[in-house]
Amino acid sequence: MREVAVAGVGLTKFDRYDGRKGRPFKNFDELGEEAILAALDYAGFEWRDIEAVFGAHAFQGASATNHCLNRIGLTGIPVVNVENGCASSQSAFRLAYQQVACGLYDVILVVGFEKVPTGLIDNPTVPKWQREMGLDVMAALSGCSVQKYMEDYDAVPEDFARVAVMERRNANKNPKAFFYQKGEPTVEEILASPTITSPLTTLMMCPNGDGASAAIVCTPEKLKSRKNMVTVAASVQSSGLYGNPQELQYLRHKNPSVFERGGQMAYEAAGIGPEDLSVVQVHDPYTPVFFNCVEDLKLCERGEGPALMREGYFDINGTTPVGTDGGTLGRSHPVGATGIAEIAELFYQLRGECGPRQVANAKVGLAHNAGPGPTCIVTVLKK
Amino acid sequence: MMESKLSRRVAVEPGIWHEPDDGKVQLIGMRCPNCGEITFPKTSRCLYCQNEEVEEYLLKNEGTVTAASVVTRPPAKHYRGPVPFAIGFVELEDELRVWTPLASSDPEVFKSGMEVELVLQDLYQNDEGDTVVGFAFTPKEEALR
Repeated sequence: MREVAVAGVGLTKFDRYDGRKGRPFKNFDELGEEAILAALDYAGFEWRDIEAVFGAHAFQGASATNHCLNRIGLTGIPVVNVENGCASSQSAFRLAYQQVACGLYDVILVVGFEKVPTGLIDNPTVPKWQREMGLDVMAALSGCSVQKYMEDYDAVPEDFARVAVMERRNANKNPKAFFYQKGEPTVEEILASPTITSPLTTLMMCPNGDGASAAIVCTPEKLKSRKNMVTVAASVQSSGLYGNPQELQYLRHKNPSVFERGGQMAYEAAGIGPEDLSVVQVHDPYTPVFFNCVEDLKLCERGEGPALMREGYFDINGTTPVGTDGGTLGRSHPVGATGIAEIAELFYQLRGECGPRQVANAKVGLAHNAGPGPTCIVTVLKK
Repeated sequence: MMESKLSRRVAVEPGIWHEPDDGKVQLIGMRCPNCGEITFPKTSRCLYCQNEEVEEYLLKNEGTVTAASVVTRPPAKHYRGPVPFAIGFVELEDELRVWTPLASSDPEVFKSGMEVELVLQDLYQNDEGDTVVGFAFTPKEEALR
């Protein structure tokens, strides 16, 4: 397998592009175009340098990636649309990584884009009859898992509000984040916001933001400069382990979760351990999932997350910074764009370009992207 | 002349529960004689060991709530019942946890450890005018009423 580098990344501002309340209106193809052009610009590549494209989205309809590319240019290159729920864009990234690693192509573009529906996002992986019974509310699964977690580890609602406090604080330092310069709510304000799926309140759930993200992967020989080169140390996936899928993802089960399995696979592939990570992005659309992530990824012991959060362990200047770009709560979660946005943040961090949210001396980063099924992609980048 | 049509009660999905004429309703799961694992809803092969010689298995119709959540916003699609409503995990002793609607006059009533019992409840009227029925677990005291 060949070494694979990340040549450049690009992001739109994550926001609501619905044209309402003074907000701009943009279609998904405009957002995708913007992210692609930004990634090309960063990498110093021309459109004709791109040999293949994987485009990720969940709600935009058949072959939506082609709409984005039709705004840029037609080159006859292979274009594949990737839909894998909330894990779509790191799934696309993984396919691109594999094809460069095994020598099929030298330069591949991946793009993720989404305009998200309003309201509760449903779980399309459960059968229709369960949806008719109201069992497709993913946030309620998290509402249940948080209660079990509180029981098992003596955690309190404030612990889960603190995740949002941290991610909103980080988002305030990220001009691309949904909640950039939108205040830093306190634990009390987060708990007092309207309850959506008890005990989760509005501010403990990710906002429905739109946006796009892009990355270009290539062989090191194709890079314009190898200074500060960032390479892919691991790109792994675990899906649908045996057992009740909902229980596997949200409650402790006799089998390891896909998060835990994904973490193990990534550490093995990269030849590192959790102690080697300088910066981590986790997929936490609801604040309790943050602790499932950091504990399953072995950043700490089971049940230890809330105490470490109180100590600032996961802060930008903490032992293992997590969600430095604002995370799913502060950046928002445009479904098909989230996975590459996480990779983009790792890339910027490893190259020391994050300004006020820069992690000192960042060398190795891990991004965790999860979806219904359940499925889990883990990507490790290193400098 | 059109015949007047009586409203029927139809299951949201066939094969999910067993309702004897003179007994309590039970969910239909699958038990694998090879590895002993139980799953719900039933499947045609064991999800754990892929054995295809699986048998139907009637789950216990009583259990305890592991955790419950009250949903205060309407789900995205398909659901046409009341809002707010409760859903959660119910642990059936020595069997498995079921992700299930929780029915009560007060959706806030469900707490971890509460004893609940399986019932059928009306969901909505379909386009043919039939009443579509689903299952739910309800507090034991309410099931007795």
